[in-house]
Amino acid sequence: MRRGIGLRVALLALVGLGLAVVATRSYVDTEPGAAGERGDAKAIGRAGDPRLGGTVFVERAGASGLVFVHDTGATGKHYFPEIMGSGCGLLDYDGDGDLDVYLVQSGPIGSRSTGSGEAGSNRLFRNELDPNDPNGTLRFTDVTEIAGVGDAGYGMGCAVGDYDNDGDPDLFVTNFGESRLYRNAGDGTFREVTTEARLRVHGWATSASFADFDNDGHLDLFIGFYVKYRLGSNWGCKTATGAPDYCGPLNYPAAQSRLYRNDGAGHFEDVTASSGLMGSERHTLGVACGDLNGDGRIDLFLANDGDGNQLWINQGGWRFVDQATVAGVAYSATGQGEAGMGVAIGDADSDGDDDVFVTHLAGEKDTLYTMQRPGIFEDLTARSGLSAPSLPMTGFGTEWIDYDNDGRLDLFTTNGAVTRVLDQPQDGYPFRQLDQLFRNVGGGRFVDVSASAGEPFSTPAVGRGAAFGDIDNDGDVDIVVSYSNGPARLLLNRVGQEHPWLRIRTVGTTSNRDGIGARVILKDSRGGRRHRHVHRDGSYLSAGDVRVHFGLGETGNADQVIVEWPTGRREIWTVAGVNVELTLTEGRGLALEM
Amino acid sequence: MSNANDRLGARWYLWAALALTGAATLGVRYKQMAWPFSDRFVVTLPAIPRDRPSIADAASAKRFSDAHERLESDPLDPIANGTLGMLLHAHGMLEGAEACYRRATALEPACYDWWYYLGRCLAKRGATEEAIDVLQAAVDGNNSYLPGLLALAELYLSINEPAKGRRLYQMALERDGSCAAAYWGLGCVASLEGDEAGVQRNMRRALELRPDFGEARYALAMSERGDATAVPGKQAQRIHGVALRNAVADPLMGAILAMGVDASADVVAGLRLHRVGRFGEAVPRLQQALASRPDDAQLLFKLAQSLEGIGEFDLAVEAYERAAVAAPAHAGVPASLADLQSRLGRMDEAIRFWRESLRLDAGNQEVRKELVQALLAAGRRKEAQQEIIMGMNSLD
Repeated sequence: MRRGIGLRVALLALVGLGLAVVATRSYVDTEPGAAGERGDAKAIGRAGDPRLGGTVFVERAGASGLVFVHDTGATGKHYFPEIMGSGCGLLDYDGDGDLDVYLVQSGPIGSRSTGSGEAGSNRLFRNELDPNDPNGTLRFTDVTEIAGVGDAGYGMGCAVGDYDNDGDPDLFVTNFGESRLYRNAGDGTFREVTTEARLRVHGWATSASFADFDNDGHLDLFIGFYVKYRLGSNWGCKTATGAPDYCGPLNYPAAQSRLYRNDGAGHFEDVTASSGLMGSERHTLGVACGDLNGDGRIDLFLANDGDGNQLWINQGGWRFVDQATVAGVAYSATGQGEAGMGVAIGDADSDGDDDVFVTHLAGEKDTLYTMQRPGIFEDLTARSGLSAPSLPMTGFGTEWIDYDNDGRLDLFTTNGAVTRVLDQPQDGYPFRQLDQLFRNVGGGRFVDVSASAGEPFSTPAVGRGAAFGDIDNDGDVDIVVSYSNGPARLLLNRVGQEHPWLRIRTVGTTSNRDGIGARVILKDSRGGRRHRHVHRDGSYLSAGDVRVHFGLGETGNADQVIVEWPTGRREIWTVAGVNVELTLTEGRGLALEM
Repeated sequence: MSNANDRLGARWYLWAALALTGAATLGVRYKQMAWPFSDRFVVTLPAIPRDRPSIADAASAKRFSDAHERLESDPLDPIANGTLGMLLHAHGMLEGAEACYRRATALEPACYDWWYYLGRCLAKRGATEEAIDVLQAAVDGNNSYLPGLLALAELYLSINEPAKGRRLYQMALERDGSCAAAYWGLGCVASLEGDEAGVQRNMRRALELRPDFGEARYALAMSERGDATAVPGKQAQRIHGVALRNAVADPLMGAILAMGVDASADVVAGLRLHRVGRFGEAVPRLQQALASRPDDAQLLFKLAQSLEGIGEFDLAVEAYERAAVAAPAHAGVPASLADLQSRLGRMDEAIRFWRESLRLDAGNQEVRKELVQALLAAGRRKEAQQEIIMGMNSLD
């Protein structure tokens, strides 16, 4: 027998020699044993861009005082809401010219909401940047109690919008339980006005969006609802190894999402039934609004978990029709309903219309629906290069951002599993994945540059919400990311400011105050055009900066800005300089013929 | 013993010969492994996954235990390595599976199966380019396994390499001219190349071969659709006539699925069919799923609802009662059982189960409303009043 073993070893060595001699194809080099020792199952197959040098984004949450740790409130019973939250928001609540940060807290679960300001509540952090000091230090102060927005419900997400057109952003907090509306008083405080605004909604609300669906100048509100769920009716699900785990959405009936019309007098009217949305229950997680068929009315895209997505085309007169299937955005290219989580609307291929990106569960690629003509999309994920890298990830918060200010919209996704990752058995919270950054290289193609995007992209966590905006006011887009059961991150962009930029703040007069839904077109001197739409929604459970950011590439070529307001008015402004923020007020530009 | 040793020696000679032949055929330089040709011919392989997962299912746990023991007794046995890899793969532990498959391919490089499993495992882990290398090497050595050709082709499409995908789909059609999945693939190739006529031609051919091929039907509908604003909702419904994909049978992956701890396919199918109200079809799938998970409360609950949906009320009551035993703290089970008893006119039973539901979840006003109405209908006004008061007390 001993002779046999020796013979085996010798023969194996011979085999090895043979393998080496006839070699024609090589694989990724790793140290012996590495395959069995890698702690992070998601680290393989990640590409990088050596030009980036590893410092695209740096994490500065703790250093700047943005200290927030999400608590799922997990009880060991695997209550479904524990694994789905939470989100975050960026808003200049005090009007001092910099973005403040709102972070939504979840746990403990099962306790009743006890009002504002208690431990375990949502937190508002005021940005203390000095607008007059370009080299100022970024620092945050927790002002939750003063501001009165420490919602202590089991938090999911938030939507931001100036629903009363008084010039400051208001806040809607979605909860598992009762969601709440906070009106910004303009003096650094908010007041909870849910009841007087007639917005008492109960259930498991997820993403929400303020948008002006009837173009009357007042922001209406859509609230996505996920499943009909009560703690007393929680199912226990199991992993493939039989261990307790979280269930998925299809274990519970879908809940009805809700649409509310703003009457302009501080009240919201539930128009879900009259607008045609009633009876269309899906497991809605992601919500984004935009004019997706070019008729000038704001439509509604819903990323649904395990169901087909919905694209509610606004017919006018508060009537909506779901045309997602015909539009080609309901399903994957193979006709499968996927697990829609987050959503981003933007002009990914720089062809002048908006495309839709939806993040999905691991095992399903994230999907890029590219607009072919108004209202008609095609799943071009494979062609874009976004298919393979997204396959092992469960994506949540996402947005099109031009992180390098080269003029093209790049893509960020934050990822985290919703059921146990069985390759992480020793991890106390085995849901961790890596965030991803994709660089737009033109022609509708993207390259995964995560591996060289900085340390935050190599530290796995359980990503959920993400909000985007220039938090340090240095001319590029930064990111706040909220993680399930972990500390929030502040990703400061360290490369964007190398290129010129232009930031546009739209101020509606007839249109809603922030110009939500406006289309902003930047023209360069060679006739080139880029367009963006004014929005805060999208991503997952989160709200971003309302200002529109244009990277200008190396040439810094910016000639004119055209704004197509929600009311239909078109105006043009001449750009006098770059690296500035322009405030464009409706009615003060040069009117263009329709 | 002598005979056994001879057989063992002969087996290793054979393996060595196959390995060298296979390596030459596959043209693989396997850099993943280090082969330091020291005096003692030490061979270094990826480490064997040592973590033994906690498996609740006894039969599966035994399979894991056996596989580990077999591998520990003979770490250089490719079958022992591959088998553990398959088990890990079946239970979603892909990192360990990958290590085992790497060992198996190194120890038995002429064996197509290990390369195929390694490629599929890598693909699932998102290492697409390496998965392509592995599957391409496998196909180069053996192009007779149709699922291998199709899996590799799909990976090429996922990285926008339609030309390479086309070659593989054509190769598949050379092997089986009636392979609908290959025509579907050629349609996808055409789509990537912006050739709508090619999409339609190939999807139609796939549907001729397999009229129930939902993915081809969907792709064809997408290619042929008109202006969204002009298409009524009815057509949208017709476009979404999607059935499950009908790919060719894949016995190798089937072997992995068979190792899973539960009847996942039946669970998923049963729950989906239940969800869309196809109760008659859901019942047998849920019953099949329950055969391997008899105490799964959710499956029992869905089975009960499905049985109720097809009018098998007595069987439904029985299933609800089993669900209540399996999930004694779940308020939804007695509530549903109460609803069914009410429907059957057994009001005393209904009231009893609504009360049980409220005992578990006092805040559920919908259930309390049902209970109050039933009590009032039964003339039990005082009890109804008490329930109303308790309901008000339970409000936030």
